[in-house]
Amino acid sequence: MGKMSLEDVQPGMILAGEVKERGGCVLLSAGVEITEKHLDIFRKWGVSEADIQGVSKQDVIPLASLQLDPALLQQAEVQAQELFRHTDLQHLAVRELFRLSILRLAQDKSGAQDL
Amino acid sequence: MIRNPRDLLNGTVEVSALPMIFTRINDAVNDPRSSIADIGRIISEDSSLSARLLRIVNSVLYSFPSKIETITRAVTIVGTQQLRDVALATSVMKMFAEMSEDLLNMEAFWHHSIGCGITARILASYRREPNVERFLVAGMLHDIGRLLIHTKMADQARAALLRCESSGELLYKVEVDEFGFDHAAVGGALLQLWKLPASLEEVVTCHHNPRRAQRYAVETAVIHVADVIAHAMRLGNSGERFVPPLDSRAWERIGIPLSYLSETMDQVDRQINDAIKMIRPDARK
Repeated sequence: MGKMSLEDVQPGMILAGEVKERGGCVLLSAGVEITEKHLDIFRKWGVSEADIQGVSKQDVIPLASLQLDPALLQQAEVQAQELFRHTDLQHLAVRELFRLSILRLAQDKSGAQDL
Repeated sequence: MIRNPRDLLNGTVEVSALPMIFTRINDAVNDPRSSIADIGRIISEDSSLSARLLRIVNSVLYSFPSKIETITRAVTIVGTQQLRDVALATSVMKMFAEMSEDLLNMEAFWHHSIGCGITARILASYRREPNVERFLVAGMLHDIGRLLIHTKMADQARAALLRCESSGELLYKVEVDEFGFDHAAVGGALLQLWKLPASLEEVVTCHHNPRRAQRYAVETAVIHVADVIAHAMRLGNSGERFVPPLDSRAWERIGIPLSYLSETMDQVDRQINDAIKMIRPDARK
């Protein structure tokens, strides 16, 4: 049972937990098989993730970091270190922001390369 | 040489008062005798404001399932205070639209400001705050002091930027060192001049030093963290090259789980481009 980003959810998957929109209203209950129409509705309501049966967080490997060139990641880390030089990287939240920042920087470079 | 940030505001004709339409909307919202129809009528008198508000409420920022066609309906669904706050944000941006771009790229400045606002709104949503638009506005206005500094103290502003470029210091600390005050203090003074709610003023004044907030510690913490996130995401540019330090108490205060940061960034990505298109008055080329 694990939360997946909506982009990765496919029709046919079964909900492990109910899907609510931001205000708290339940859109779909647990145990229902998801259809394309459901996905449309979720997107319209700004839902960004869903709890899917049979999937654990470890299974949903972020595709992003797998596809990134290690050299780009390296460059990105150097850039991020400069960006974060006034912060305390020991703090868990800062560390997480630093990690996300590296991924985004590398993704930007990767995107730029493809152009 | 310590100067009072309020000195910067004297004789500033351009920003001495908020647009009349906003004051009327604000008065109506605060008047218990006003009806939703009354408020809707006032807003509708300004067609460009109405158009902008309707675009915003129909956007990905709200994700309502059906289209909102009229201002009155927007006020009913979104809320009077909330719509007032969005109107405030757009009015302020319009006021500064004519600013010179010598030192500061206005496009980049508003990108950062709106980015911070969107982020703050998302964090507030997560915390189930009753009026999330208040956070959107606070985020959008948090660096407004910088615009005044650039207008009224252009040479010193330039010197401060140059100093940061060579020394690698944080701009807001250099501001204090060189001017005796920073952009947060100027921003707070401006909001006070505009007679805006004390919460907005305190949040803006304390966004780099959230522990100084006395009455609105949580709101200040949210904007503080949103600003750090916006910098980490490199959304636009408000003059600060680096990610400002995160206040650990502010982080604890907002009670957001670590795992939510990634999600927050994704949501900001989804909302920001639309937000910029709709909130900014027609950008100059």
